[in-house]
Amino acid sequence: MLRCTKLKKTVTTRTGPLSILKGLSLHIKKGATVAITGPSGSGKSTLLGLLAGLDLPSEGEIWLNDIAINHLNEDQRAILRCQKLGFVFQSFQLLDSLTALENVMLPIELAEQPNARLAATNLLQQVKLGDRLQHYPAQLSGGEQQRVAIARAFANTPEILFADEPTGNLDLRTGDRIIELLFALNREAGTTLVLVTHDEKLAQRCQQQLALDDGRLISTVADAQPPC
Amino acid sequence: MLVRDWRAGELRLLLAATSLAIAIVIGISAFTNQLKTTINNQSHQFLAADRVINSSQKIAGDWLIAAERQHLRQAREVTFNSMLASGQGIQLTRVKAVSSTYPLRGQLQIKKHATGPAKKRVSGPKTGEIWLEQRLLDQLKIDLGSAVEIGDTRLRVTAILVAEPDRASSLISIAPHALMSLDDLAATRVIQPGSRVSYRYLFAGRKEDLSRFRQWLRGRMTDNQSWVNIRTAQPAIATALERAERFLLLAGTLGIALAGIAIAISARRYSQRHCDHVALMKCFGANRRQILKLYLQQLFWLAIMAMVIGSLLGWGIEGLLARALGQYVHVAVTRLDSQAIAMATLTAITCLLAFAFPPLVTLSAIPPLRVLRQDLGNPRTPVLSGLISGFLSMTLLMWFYSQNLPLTLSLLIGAVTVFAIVGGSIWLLLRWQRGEQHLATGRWRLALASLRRHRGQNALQTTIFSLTITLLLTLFLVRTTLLEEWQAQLPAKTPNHFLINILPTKVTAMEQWIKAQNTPHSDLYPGHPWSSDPDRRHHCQGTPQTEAIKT
Ligand SMILES: Nc1ncnc2c1ncn2[C@@H]1O[C@H](COP(=O)(O)OP(=O)(O)O)[C@@H](O)[C@H]1O
Ligand SMILES: [Mg+2]
Repeated sequence: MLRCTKLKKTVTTRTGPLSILKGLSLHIKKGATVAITGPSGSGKSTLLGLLAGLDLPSEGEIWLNDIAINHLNEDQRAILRCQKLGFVFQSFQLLDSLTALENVMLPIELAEQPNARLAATNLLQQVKLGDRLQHYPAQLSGGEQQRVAIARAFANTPEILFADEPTGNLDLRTGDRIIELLFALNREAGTTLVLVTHDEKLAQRCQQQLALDDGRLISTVADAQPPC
Repeated sequence: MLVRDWRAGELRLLLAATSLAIAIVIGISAFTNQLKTTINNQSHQFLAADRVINSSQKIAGDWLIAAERQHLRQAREVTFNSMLASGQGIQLTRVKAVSSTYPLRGQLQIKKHATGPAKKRVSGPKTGEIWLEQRLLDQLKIDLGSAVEIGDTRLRVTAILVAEPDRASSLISIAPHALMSLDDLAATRVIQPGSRVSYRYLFAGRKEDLSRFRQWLRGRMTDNQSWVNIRTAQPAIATALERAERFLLLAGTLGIALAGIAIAISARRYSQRHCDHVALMKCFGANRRQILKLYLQQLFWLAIMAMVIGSLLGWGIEGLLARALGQYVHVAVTRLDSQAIAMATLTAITCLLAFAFPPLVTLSAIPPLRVLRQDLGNPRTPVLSGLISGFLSMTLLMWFYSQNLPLTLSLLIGAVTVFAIVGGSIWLLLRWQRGEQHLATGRWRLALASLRRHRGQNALQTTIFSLTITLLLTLFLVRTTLLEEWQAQLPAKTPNHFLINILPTKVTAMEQWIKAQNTPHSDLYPGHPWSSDPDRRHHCQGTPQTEAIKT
């Protein structure tokens, strides 16, 4: 369902052009769980941003279902994200002026869906934060904040969930629990999961592992077919 | 969203700054208007009108028709010296015959009984009546209710004349005063060809009507006629009024500048704090238009709230100003006038558009990718263009507010100079530091590097603060100078009251009485009864006015 071919990303920096992704192709099947691994600075986040339509590639194509998202303009990509994609970030990215409930309601409201409050309350109950609805991010621990973020990621019932090092800012045990939660919700909703991680153990739990180094795919381990 | 951001506090700052701008404008302009009206009214009481034509002859009837065409209210005064006679004595008197509409401004004070307080009246004596000063009653040895002869007619004394609004204009006359109706003047037959009579034609009305009438009069008036306004009649009051007005204007204009700066800073802060919000909302599918709409809505509600709060606050400021000056002038604190509200609306819109709108537009351009890369798309608020647009709108606003281009320009030139000097020296300092950096070590180097990285920001902020301080200092200096000049207008120990016409037989008693009053005073000087030399009068300085001082 998500596919990219000969993807390149070059940015201009003060010291000249910097090539981050150097021609990269992959294929992610619907409902799959995919881990993108690699050393820091290898271009994982950049790849995630491109796949999620947050940024445009310098070269190559990205297909989501039958749509070449690299040909969409910013507003069209925004609509696409709103309808089909969910996000979890390393640094949680909750709005600290909003309560947990309001944070989860935000994507639903932006999608102009009804019953945002009810849906958000349900989601927060699923991540076991039903009693913390009116708490502000500052009043929650890191793990709790990430649980709110996970609830928020599922709020618009996405087809694909992108997670950029979701446990990177958490201690081991909390991280493990967050991962359990993420996988459980993912299974339940049948979402495709694209996960960027350092964590080998975590990567092993995914059906497909893509190892990135210096902007190239160095190995793909998959339970199913190799990428095209 | 508004409510949510409100809790975050950043909006509160912006709201406070905007409200303050509005409050300053409303407060000061409403107060200035009020002060102007009050002082104008009060000073026009010295004329008993807004404008007066002084003439040694009757003026042509079509002049009055012309005045009527301009919807001016009118009154007439004929003043002459005449002998008043009772059975017991005669006395040369300064008689003023007034039309029934007199006075147009101010009030008369009379007593209906020999004892008791004075009462205020808005019109003069009726036909057949005459009002005399107390001393005239004494000199004629009569009481209220008696009749006095004036020329060929007899008038009944119905009141004691305590004060008339335009008395000052006839102060030269030391003869006792009497006030009668113009209707009785013909019957007295005192005015003969050749008698010394002064005619005063009083006008009151709207400013524009008055100046149209004045326009009409131009070229028609002769050397024996003069057009009197408060400036010619009471130049000291007029000057003081103008100064006070100019000071308030300056204060208000600087106030707007300060509020503009406050709005600019808080809007910048606000938009910086909202980068993550925007990136996240975009990541979740909001497009640029939606973001802009959202923030504009916020700005709109903010403007409305700021106007309500600012208006109330401004009203309070006006009240405070009125209270502070209450001991000098009585300023009626009334409604919020519509002009002030219009001014406030304009201020709110201009300030928000000039200072809050640009950062919000930059905000809406933040790329959604920022959710993955925090260093990305920090809003590069275009410092220079922001400065220019803020500067221009500030100029326009100040100009509109003060209606005074020289004032606005000199303020701006001052501001730009400060800006250039302070901003430039900070810039240079930072450059120099880079040159010297190899000398710096460790922590110091880190600090310098960070300073330099935010060089533009730092220079801007420091400059803004120094500008603020300059503005405040200017205001303070101007205020002090103004007050000092004001006080310097009168020499110390200037007398407030004079005693004149003290009979030689009463001098000793008088001196004792004055001592008993315990008021600073000079000695009694002998003088010719008709002398108009103020030094020859008895000086008596003191407040409050001692009503008992009378001769
Ligand atoms: N817009 C950009 N401008 C400059 N450098 C960038 C930009 N985006 C990414 N990079 C650089 O590209 C490299 C890869 O970044 P990233 O994709 O975030 O790596 P990872 O997530 O694997 O750690 C890093 O060295 C980063 O500094
Ligand atoms: Mg990364």
